Amino acid sequence: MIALLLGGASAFGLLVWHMQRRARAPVVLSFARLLPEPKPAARPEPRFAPTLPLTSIGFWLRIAAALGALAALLINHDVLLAQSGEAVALRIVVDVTDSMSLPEGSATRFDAAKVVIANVLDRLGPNGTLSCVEVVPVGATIGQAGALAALHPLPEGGDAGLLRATAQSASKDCQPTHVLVLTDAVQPAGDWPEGGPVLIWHQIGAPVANAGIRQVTLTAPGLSAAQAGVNFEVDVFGLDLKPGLDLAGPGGKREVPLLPDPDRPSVLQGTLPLTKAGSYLAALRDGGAYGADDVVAFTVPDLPRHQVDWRLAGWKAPANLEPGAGPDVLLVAALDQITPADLARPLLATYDGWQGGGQAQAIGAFTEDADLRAGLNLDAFEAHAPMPLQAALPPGFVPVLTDAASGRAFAARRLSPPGLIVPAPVASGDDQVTNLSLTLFFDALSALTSGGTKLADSRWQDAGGRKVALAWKESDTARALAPTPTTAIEPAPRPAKPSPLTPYLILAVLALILTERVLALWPLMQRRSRAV
Amino acid sequence: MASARQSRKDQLIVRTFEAEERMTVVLILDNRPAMRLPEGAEKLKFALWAMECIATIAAEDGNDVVLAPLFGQGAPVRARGRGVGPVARKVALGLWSAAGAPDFAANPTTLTTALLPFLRPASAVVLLSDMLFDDTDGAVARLADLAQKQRRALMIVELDSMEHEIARLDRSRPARLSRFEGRDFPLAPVDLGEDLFQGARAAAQDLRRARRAQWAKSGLVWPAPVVWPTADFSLARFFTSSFPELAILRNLVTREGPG
Repeated sequence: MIALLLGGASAFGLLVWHMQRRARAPVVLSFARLLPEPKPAARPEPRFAPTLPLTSIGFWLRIAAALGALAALLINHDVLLAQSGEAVALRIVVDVTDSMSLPEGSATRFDAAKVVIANVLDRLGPNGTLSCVEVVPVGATIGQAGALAALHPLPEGGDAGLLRATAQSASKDCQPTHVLVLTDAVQPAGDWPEGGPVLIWHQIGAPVANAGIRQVTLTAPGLSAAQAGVNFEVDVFGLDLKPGLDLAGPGGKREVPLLPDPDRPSVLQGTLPLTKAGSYLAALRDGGAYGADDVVAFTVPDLPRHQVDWRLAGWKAPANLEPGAGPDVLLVAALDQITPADLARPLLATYDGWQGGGQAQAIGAFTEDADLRAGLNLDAFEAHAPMPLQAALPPGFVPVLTDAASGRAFAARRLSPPGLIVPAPVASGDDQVTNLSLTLFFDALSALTSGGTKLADSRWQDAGGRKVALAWKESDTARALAPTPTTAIEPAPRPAKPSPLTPYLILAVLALILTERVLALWPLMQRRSRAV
Repeated sequence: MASARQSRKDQLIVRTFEAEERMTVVLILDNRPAMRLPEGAEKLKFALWAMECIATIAAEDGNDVVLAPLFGQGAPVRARGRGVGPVARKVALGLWSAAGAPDFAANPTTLTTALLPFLRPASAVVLLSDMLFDDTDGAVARLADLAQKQRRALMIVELDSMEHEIARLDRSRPARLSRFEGRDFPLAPVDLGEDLFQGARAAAQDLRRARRAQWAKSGLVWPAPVVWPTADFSLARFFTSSFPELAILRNLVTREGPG
């Protein structure tokens, strides 16, 4: 928008400038002394006159200069400058995450990486083929390039994706021909860009079994759970590890029973009910080689809970749900009693569908909605179907179950804020109708009160209390170790060097201004240069 | 012809005649700022080229040459023989490049004072000018009179660019006139109508007629002017074609008096 305004103002200003009728230079005549007294002009000339200076070279040069200046102001872009000759421009990407401090032989993985780097530099240095070296440390974030001697593992976790992105990024000072990555992480899958620098992924560290706490979540009580709970996920890497988990907190120390996740065999899960707020410490027993992912401290300031603003006549709110009010609290009410302001809240709305009993009706279009249809038998529903909703659906709601005859909705859903419309529950003499109405209504209520899981504010540390951010990312110390790469680092054509576009734009603008000035002053220069 | 000198009959006497003496050709150049007009086809440039050529021709005839500006403090320069060419060139360059941007508003009337001693007997004086200078105090007229004394010849090379300048003017729009040779004009733009230039033509004609009448003595050679073409032209080519046609050349080479 600012660019458009500036561009428009520049173009308008230039047009106005060109529309000026400039005062003529005074006329000089060699016989002026003999002129009779001249008469003043009959009609004075206007200051501005409409003109379209499309044939003026000066106009286009000024327009180009203005646009160039505007581009220099707004465009932040690099151009690639070709470089001649062959050399090795080496970028060394060093993993400085916490797992690099694991023992490797008599030293650490990081020390082993430094030995590899020293060997590479020794091989390249004497030949004089090394044009530049850039050492970039990568932990949880990309660090500043600097001297290798000043680097050491940091108390934080990281991932291989960031290592690869760093290997692939452009550099103004040392655009690499070769990238050497030293890490204990597995090289991520994915194609390396064609024509890019040669990538050498040197993995360090023999595999060692390890288990670590991956995440801690809190669950609010709902229709299906009477108490709040804390859930643990433990990753197990390598065989023969049988970790145990203890939770210490306001309720004392308790053992968390861990069971394998049916879908993920390497993951153990455990849950404990949570009755008190406070600070907790979960600690793994037999956590394997890497200790910083064995202990997680977390604080539960308030027990998670579900609140509901229950306005449904004739039915009481379930005991697990606390009464509440406010824009974020779930509202349960009849649709015809809801105000427009209530529509912005999480909502379970009902309409009188089964008041007259059920009737046989065919189901029309419906969408797969696991929450609503989990407990519903559609054959029974068709035999005792309610009346569909006669009123128009509120904004944002879409039908999930419709009547074949009229196309109207039996039930509708809104994604955000979450909302459902279903027939109101009835306790009629017809058991089938009662059962169907209760099933549909409480399935809907359950769906809207089941999203109570949230991550605890977790802090990983080792048994000695040393805190390591995102330590769970370091847990997989048992991954397979890739063979030592054999790719030789040979001189290659220097890659194009990225250079900011702005100086070139400014140079072009200056050239345009110079050209415009030279053209404007050319007649005067010619006059001055005439010799006798 | 008897000598005025008294002598005995057996003594030899030397008779000298004025026409047999080596002549001094004095070339006077009107160096008013107005001569630097019109722009691109300056009268001064034509006059300087003509001065160089005439000086060279006179020198080849065995004459002394004196080069002098008409106005201002410049000193006349005398040369002879092979030295004339380089000296004339140097004088021309000096006059052309003098004093930066010309001051058209000034009205030079002061003659080059050191000029008069160079007008020795048996000289031919050539004046290169547009003949439109202001001579209210009659200083140039007196110089013209002196130049024609004792059968000396005063030859005028008149340069007329008036019609060329009028033709080149953009007369479609009003314009301001620049202050010129002491003459003030209105600050507001004026119409450049034909009546304005008719008046100028008449005034120039009257001035030249009066000047011709005032200067007319036995030695005045004032042929028709060199007239600048009205269309665009190359001054160098124009000089090449018009210089050989200058009527004063015949007078100068044959040492004829006024025809």
